[in-house]
Amino acid sequence: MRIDFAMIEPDPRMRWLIFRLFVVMCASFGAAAVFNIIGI
Amino acid sequence: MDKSEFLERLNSGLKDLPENEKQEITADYEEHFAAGAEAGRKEAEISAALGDPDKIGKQLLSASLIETAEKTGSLSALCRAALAIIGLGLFNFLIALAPIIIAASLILVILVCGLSFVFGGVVALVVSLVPSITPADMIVVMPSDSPLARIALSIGFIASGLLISIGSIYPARLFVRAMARYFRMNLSVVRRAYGNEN
Repeated sequence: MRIDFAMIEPDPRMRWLIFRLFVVMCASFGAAAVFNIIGI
Repeated sequence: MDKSEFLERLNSGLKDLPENEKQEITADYEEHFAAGAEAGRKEAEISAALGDPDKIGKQLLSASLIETAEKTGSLSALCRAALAIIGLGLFNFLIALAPIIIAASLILVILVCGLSFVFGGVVALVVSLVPSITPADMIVVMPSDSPLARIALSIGFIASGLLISIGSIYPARLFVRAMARYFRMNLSVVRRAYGNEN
């Protein structure tokens, strides 16, 4: 059965939200690692 | 069976369809009767040739529900389509609903996992910001002694939880469309077997 993946692609607004959440997640985990290392 | 009885029975089978679709189908069958009458055939003959109106109604209803499920990716539309198909006697209860229930639970697991991340993140954030609200007998295990690192980690957890929750929508839609396609394929096989291509 062929499945058209384009049909379930997130719309641009959703894609933007996902991108922002991803950036927030990476930045937070990165910041946590840095704060942990420098100990503040 | 005369024309009015045929159309009445067909219509009662289509009562869950949108009005415009119902009218289109009725007009279609009226045309069949008109063309038959012109050719000098009796109404009873024409309705016998068209087939059982209850069965036709059920088939058209299932086809329409499947189309809605495929278009919108909505799980409730898929469940209605599955029930209509079961009503058609095409599938038994288990074959139609078991895959839906299994996939729906898997998708629910992903969603609950994401929401727990969000909940855990919110709790960790509150505990990091206001440590005094933690009840005395509650032990909160948090990595790192640095308060800033704890806050950043909590925000990271909330964001990743939201991402996981959003991520559960897409496999769900994919599954609904795949199942709708599978149902449609089976429905068209049955229609071909009955020689009814409406």
